Amino acid sequence: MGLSETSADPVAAIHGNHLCGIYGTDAGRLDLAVPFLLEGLEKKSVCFLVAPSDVLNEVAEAMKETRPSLDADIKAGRLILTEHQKTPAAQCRFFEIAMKKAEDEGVESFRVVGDMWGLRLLVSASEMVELELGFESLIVPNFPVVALCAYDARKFTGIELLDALKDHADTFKFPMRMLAD
Amino acid sequence: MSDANELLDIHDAGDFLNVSETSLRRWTNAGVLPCLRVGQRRERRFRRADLLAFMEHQPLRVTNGEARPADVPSPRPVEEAITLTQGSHLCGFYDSDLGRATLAVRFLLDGLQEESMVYLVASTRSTKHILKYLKQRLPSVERDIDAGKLLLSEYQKGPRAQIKDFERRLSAAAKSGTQSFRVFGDTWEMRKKTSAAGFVEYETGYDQLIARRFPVVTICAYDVRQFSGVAVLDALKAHRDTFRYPIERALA
Repeated sequence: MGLSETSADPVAAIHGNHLCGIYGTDAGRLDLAVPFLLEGLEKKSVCFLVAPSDVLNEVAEAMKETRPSLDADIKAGRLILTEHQKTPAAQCRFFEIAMKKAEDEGVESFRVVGDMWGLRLLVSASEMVELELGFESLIVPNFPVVALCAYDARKFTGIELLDALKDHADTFKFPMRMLAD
Repeated sequence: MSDANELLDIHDAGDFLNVSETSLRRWTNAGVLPCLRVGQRRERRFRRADLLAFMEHQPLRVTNGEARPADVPSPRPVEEAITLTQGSHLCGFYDSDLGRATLAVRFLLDGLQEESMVYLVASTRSTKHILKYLKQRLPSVERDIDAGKLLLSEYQKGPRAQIKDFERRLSAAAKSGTQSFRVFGDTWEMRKKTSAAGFVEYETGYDQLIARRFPVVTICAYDVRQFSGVAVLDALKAHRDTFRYPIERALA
């Protein structure tokens, strides 16, 4: 998909979505993350990008091509670029504190892109599932957030991707019981 | 007395079943426990009747003080029917032989109940395993096989031959008056017969020549023990109907 094709679609309209994205190239990662975050900024959402530092830079540079004022967004806290916390619990706590603070300041919606390989480098496969479940139980029900957890198909195994798909039922048109077991 | 239709939030539902909220989320995501979604944040609400039914149908064991469903040795029951549009070409994933049987039995049984002609394409071994569980749910399955309502087949020698075989069989059945079909394919068996690129061509060919031309609902089932992460991504890209949103939002 071209980066400019960011027209409104249902994803933008529904809060509480916890979606799974999968990419197979570095360019694919940008194709997922950049329009999603740009659209969030246009809609006045506070956006989080959680990824290793090289990915943070790469995505920010790509976003600047469409949004030259990105540095001002970062400075004002509208776009928060951060590396992963060391544990799933710490990551969820980070989102809770940051989103609560933003809500107190009047922010009405959030977007999150998580580049999941960055976390997988720090934790085990089962702890990854723990983070997804923690995010689903502590963040999604309590904040008006749309989250895209982006998985690198070159790094994750088929079995790990199946686990990821199972934890993102919002992504699919049909109940997971029909599509995965 | 409690109203069976009373809606409980996830906290109260957890108390009611003596399980954690995380367990409830997992079970609802897996589709084994029904819930309603309310409000802008799509919070879960549970009908007391559904919780009771879930409890009655799931033998419970207790671990660390929390009740959990026991390990289920056979495919789980088919819950309420899912409405599918003819032409839907979906992908499914499993990571165990039991998982494959569970996906297949649910899908095939629904098809037989809606009086579709149902087509299972898999290895002889996998077919035997799936039929074992299908018979538990539908003792008369041999009659359906004899009547040609349930077709069992191994994959042909390559993608082109397989698509031709589908065309031939579905065309003949349609001419004889069959109005709807279901196809469940265990894709690893085809992948073994062709290259990764050939397999992608097979999926594309199936989509254009079979899924869009016949009144058929298809699940291509992928064994994630065999397919790599990149192959899973390719599989998802070849099955747009599976997604709630445009796939460009989810796959790249």
